[in-house]
Amino acid sequence: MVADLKNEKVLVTGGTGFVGCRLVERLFLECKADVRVLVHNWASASWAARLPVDLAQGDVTDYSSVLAAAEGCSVIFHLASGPGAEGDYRATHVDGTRNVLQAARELGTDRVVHVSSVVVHGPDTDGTLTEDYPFIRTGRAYADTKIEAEEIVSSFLEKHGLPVTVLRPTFIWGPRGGQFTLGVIRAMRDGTFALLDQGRAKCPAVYVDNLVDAMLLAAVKDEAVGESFLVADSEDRTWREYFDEYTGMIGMSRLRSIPASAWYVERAAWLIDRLGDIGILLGGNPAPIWRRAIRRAARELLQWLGRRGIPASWHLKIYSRTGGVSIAKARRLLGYQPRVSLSEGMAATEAWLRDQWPQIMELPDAD
Amino acid sequence: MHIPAAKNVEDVELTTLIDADAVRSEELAAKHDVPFSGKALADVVDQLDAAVVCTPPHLHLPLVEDAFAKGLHVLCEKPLANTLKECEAMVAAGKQAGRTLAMAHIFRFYPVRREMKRIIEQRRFGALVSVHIEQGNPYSWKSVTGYNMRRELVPGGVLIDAGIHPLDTMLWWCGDPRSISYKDDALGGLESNASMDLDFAGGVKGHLRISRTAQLCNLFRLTFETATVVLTPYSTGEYTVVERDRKEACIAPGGDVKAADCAHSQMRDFARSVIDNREPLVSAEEGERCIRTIEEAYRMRDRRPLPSKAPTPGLTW
Repeated sequence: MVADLKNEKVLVTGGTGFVGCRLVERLFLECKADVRVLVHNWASASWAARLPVDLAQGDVTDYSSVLAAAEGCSVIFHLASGPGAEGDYRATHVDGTRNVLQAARELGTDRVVHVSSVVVHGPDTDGTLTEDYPFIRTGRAYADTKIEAEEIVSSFLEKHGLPVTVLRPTFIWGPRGGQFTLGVIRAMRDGTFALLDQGRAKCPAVYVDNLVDAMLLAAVKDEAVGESFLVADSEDRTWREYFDEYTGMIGMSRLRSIPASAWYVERAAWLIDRLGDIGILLGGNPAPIWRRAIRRAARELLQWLGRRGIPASWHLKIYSRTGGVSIAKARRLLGYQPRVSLSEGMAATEAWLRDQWPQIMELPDAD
Repeated sequence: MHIPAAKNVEDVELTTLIDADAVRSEELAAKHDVPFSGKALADVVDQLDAAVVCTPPHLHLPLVEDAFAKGLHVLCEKPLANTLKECEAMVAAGKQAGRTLAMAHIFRFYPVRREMKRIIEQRRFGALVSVHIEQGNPYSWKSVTGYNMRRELVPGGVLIDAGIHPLDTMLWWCGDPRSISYKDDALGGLESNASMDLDFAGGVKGHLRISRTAQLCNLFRLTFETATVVLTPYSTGEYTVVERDRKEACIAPGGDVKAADCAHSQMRDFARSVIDNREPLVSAEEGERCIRTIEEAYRMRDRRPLPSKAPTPGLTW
């Protein structure tokens, strides 16, 4: 057992998501904790419903439901993330975090574990990234609102002495994973995947169970209070090594590569960003014909660029960053040890993919 | 599904909508041009001869008993009830009141499934050897109450919810199972993945794999002595016959219809069963049979100890 939370009443926001439901499973089965999950969308609760945990209907953007769910809980894991009802991240990340922290303060909760993201440091940090690296606002709603949420955490720490710990996971992978697991396989199958610079850059990803270990430790270690921690796997691996695991699963023999620093790649990435902006600016229905025509043209151009494996500029920077991510602080203060290796994590991921996405694991035409 | 059916079937006049949320029932009544709405059966019973009960299943028994007490006939959505005991009480109440209790198992009205029943009975490709069903999609059905995710309201997850559709079809085609084996991925709560093997009379084997998290291949495969027949869970009429090297795409008689048309057929059958004083095509006893099988599966689940470590998600055990 990573952390002694036996019989502790804990609340998990975001407990129906990729990381959240793994946390809930391990809290219940391994820690024997008394778990409550705040559920805002019942359609996504299938995984969490497999356990005899308390599923409390509510929403982090609704203070009264957060307060009611947090009642009696000694620990809150705050993972809720993603666009809210209005389609923006602010409601969930900023208002939601404020509500969770306010409820914890009002109820005198012993510990809050706030799950942020490495994206607060921007996509292209120099050298090895540590927790001291500044926040970088980039104009991306997801990342910028994660920064705002961390600023709210800081203010609750300073003004109210709330016992809160911040975790900044890197790129999370493993069973039930979306962007860095299922998304990778889909892109490889669709022919829209390409390595950047042969995948030589560092891949500071984190396996879901390693991240959950860090979260459980953050909930019980006194040294964690008031601190922020980057969380990644320990192995010094490249993106090539990471992606090769997936090509091996689906029997793909090779991956194409594009040069990250080539002028046309950078321009194309810039164009992808702008095409995305067009989609947002001219979105909404009903729309006049001219707006629909521009949207359609932008979408088709995006697909054309996608088929050539060119990413948006944010991902271009992430996948070509040469520096690693330091987990020294997490090791020192939390006692964090990333115990699941790449091969072990990939074996579990493959078992999940073959069981849950059997068709996607077969290549339509092997290359 | 039931509102358009009730509005379009010649023997039925849709007069009333009832919902615990009065605002919602009023809005729906206005939208569909239904003259009356209310929060409870007692508010509106004078306008009614029959009721369609499509609430969450834990409410079926009291509502159906109430309807029978008021002299109404009932078409009840699947599952008939959460437990066999409740099913038996509903069937008994219907008999005592002398009223019809029909099951809404919509897929029974899909022409392709009726054609499979005929193919089996007529032994068109020899004897049936096995029925293999895989059905699963990541769950996306919007629910206000989330009843089917809440173990205080339902006895199980995907099997009794979406899984009851293919299970009912399999039992209809093959009869009562002689024995079953069952496993799922529940960890003390409601399963999201389940696998059931069934043995039927004549040595026919059934296999059902059902999921509300996985993207499965979604197929029904019936193996006969001389051919294999394949259809999807969603096709109303199309199926494929594979005989030796020959593969033939077929359409069941009357199969060129949409799912909504099958809902009309279901409503029409219910209305005619009441008017003609005959058994409905899908009786409550058949709904009861599904719950009997599901309860047996859940007894197997409940005997299993919980693992001490979180297993790989999705894998049944």
